[in-house]
Amino acid sequence: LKTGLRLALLLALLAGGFWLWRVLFPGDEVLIRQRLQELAAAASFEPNEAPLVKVTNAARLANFFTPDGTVDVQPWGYQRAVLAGRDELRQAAVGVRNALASLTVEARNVEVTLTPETGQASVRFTLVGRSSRDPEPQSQEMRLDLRKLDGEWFIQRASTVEYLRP
Amino acid sequence: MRVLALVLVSFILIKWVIFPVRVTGISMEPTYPDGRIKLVNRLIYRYSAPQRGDIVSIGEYGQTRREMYMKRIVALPGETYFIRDGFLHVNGQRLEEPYVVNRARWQVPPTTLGEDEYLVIGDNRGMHQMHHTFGRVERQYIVGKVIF
Repeated sequence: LKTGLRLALLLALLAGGFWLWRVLFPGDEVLIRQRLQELAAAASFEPNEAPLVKVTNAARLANFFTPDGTVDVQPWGYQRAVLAGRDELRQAAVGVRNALASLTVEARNVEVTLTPETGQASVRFTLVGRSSRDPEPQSQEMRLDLRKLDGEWFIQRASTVEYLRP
Repeated sequence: MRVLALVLVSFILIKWVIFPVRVTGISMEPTYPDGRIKLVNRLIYRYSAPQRGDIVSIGEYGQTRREMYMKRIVALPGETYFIRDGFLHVNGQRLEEPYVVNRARWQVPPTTLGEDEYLVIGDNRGMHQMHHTFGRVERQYIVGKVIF
């Protein structure tokens, strides 16, 4: 019994140590998934956002990108939009916040592919947006190319994946 | 033994042949209301080409569950279509579409589909054209046919 108890304690200790290790030193995939959730939260906004908060949150959104980060998107029903650099991204984020009363963004079905030797990664996910403008949720397949800079992941390029063409 | 066989067959069916989808949104109404669960056959188009009238799921069957479009095939490769005042015309003929109940005045200019392209539209044509996702899709993105 004593040996069994010791073995069980040892196993519990190992499991606890492994869990703690994962919490303290999360892998790149976990970091990227967390980053994506933070991005979705930064892109979402409630009605009646104060002007200062609007600008601050738009700047926060742009800071998820590398300084030369680009966005090349053509969601259904909209014209293609190509943005380059944090300034353009910030202005576009403010523009969206001015155009819509509210927006809720979710990232679903996230698939992360890492290329550790180059410090790069790509992410495929379904972006689901609910806005004050559309009567039903809009979903869009997206691809992000990320780069690790000083231990943190930044978006280098965001683009839409198109299945249907008008 | 029978239970094991049943579990195995179910696993194979769900993994490689049939998968469930939940309808989200109103673009396939009234045929499929929002929230309805449907089953999609992934293998059917390995042995036959998609047909006009088939309701299909569109997207990619990846490692994770994905959002897919669910639409009806209304025009086939090589055909020319246009929509005038909400009525779809294919190769110069107005297509009879008994599944369309409400019709907004959609306008789409004449377009000829490529050799590998299908035109897919949801059944809810009462929606504003701008709010309804439809268009040309390559066959590689037609994942399967909705069977029931």
